[in-house]
Amino acid sequence: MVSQQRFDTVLIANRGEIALRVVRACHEMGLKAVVVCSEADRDAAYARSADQSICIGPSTVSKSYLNHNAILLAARLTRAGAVHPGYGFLSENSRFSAAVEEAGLIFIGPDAGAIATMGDKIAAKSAMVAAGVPCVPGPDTELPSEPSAIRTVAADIGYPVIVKAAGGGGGRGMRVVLHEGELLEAVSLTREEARKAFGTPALYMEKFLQHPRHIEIQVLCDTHSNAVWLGHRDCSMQRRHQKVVEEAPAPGISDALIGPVGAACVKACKQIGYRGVGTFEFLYEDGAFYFIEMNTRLQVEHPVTEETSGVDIVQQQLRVAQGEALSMGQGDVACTGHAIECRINAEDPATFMPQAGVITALELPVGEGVRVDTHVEAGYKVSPYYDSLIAKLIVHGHDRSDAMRRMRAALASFKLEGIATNLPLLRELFEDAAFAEGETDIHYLEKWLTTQGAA
Amino acid sequence: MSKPDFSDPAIVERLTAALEAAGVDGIEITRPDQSLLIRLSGSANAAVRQLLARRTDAEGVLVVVKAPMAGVFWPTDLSRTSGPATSAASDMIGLLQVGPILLPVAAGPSQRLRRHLVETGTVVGFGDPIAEVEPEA
Repeated sequence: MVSQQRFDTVLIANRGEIALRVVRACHEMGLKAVVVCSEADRDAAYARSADQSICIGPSTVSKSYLNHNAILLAARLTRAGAVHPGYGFLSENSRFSAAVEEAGLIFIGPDAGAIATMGDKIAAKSAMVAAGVPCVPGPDTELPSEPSAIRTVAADIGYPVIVKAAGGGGGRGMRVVLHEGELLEAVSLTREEARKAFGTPALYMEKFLQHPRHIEIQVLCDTHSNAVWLGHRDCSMQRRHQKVVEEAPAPGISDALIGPVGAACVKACKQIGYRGVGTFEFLYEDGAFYFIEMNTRLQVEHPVTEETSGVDIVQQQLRVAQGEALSMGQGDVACTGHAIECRINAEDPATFMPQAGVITALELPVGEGVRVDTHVEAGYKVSPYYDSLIAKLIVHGHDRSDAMRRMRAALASFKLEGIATNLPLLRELFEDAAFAEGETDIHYLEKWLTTQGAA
Repeated sequence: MSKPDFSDPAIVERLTAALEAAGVDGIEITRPDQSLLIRLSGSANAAVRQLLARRTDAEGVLVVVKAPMAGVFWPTDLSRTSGPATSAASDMIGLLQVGPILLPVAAGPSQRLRRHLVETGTVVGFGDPIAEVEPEA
């Protein structure tokens, strides 16, 4: 039971599976849920699962799901006391977080200051260095503009280096430099891209790791200076910086190795007064972790951590927003078994082109240790306006090989007709010997696709 | 080639985006079975964008007026008139309350109110049907 509730109605400023996921958590906690929708989602069945839905604008995201004013108006009209941003859209927008709180509502996520700090990669790195979180070699300051100074920074780090936009993220606004001859042109191009794409030309430079894995640490913090980490994930199976398969825990990484890193993440959260859930992303190479960024929101892949830790992360977000203290300490966190998530996308499995159309038949896998988070059903019309993610298939097994076996069976029984999906690709991937072995790096999937004749 | 369905929000949106991009105030498309009027905010005699989807039934041509944005709808009071309100007397079919602002919702040129589709004080979303209008006699 929630006592002394600060709000009884949550407006969900998102769509699709994550909107449905938050609705479920709200109802389990006795809270009312309001979903906003665009014209394209007006008739979607998932919107009817909420206590109320309200259309806020046309299908174009800039006029609906990214429209601050329309969302705040919807919150006022529906008497919502809090706004859950989900992931993507406005979830890491510090101005939106501030606007929600200025409107007298509760933003279910960190405050605007924390979002802004972590959104600025230089400021984030500086905060991590201060907390003892291991970072990629390179200064935690903005790259100077003088050519000689730029050369000096690169030489001190050692080639290859990577030039990144301070306001970037998600694989955008970065360029690898293999040797000094291409350095200044790369800096110039990246600076111009950063200025146009992120509104600031600020850059920084780091060592470029050549065969890293992508490892994440999930944290959970309240407003009473309590924080825990809920284990780790491996999200190395990526194509063009987009995650395809995620798993928890990261294979082959001992508790002794990652324990101090998790503790440093918790320390960093306490130092910056972080609240809510967050994810520290690291590159991992040759037994060492290197911080790359912090995501100040719920992650798409949060279910694998929920499965291994037994913690309902979305409910925890709601409890923290209500002002409750965490009901667990670090000693209470115990991760068991192994969980894997596949992102089921409406896309051509060979060309990866997004697909729109009507799902004519749908049979979801069921069974022990199988979970499907989705908003679609037979007859659902996949819109061309939004992300191609239509479902997340999650399995939990005793160990990794058990989880792999469950996933193969679940993928085999997943039937979806009417539009193309990446299900055939995933079925093939889970037969790959190296993937089954584990510990593949972030380049593995793209190389594997090349050998399969697709890229 | 099949005819587009002008009650399809996606088509309305694409047309609206094209109008905005071209700097055009509005467009009216009429054919025997359907017609569509899009008027963008800022154009003469229009406080807000209107979405009108027209259909034909046994009683003639009806136009459904949709909410131009989310708000609380306050219809005009039909009881104060001897019959259905006319746009000649009042172009307004109601007010949309958006925070402290009341936005007039118009019947459209040469249209009169046939009936309201939502109760007084109803929270409506963007594109929700709020009234039916018909051509003035």
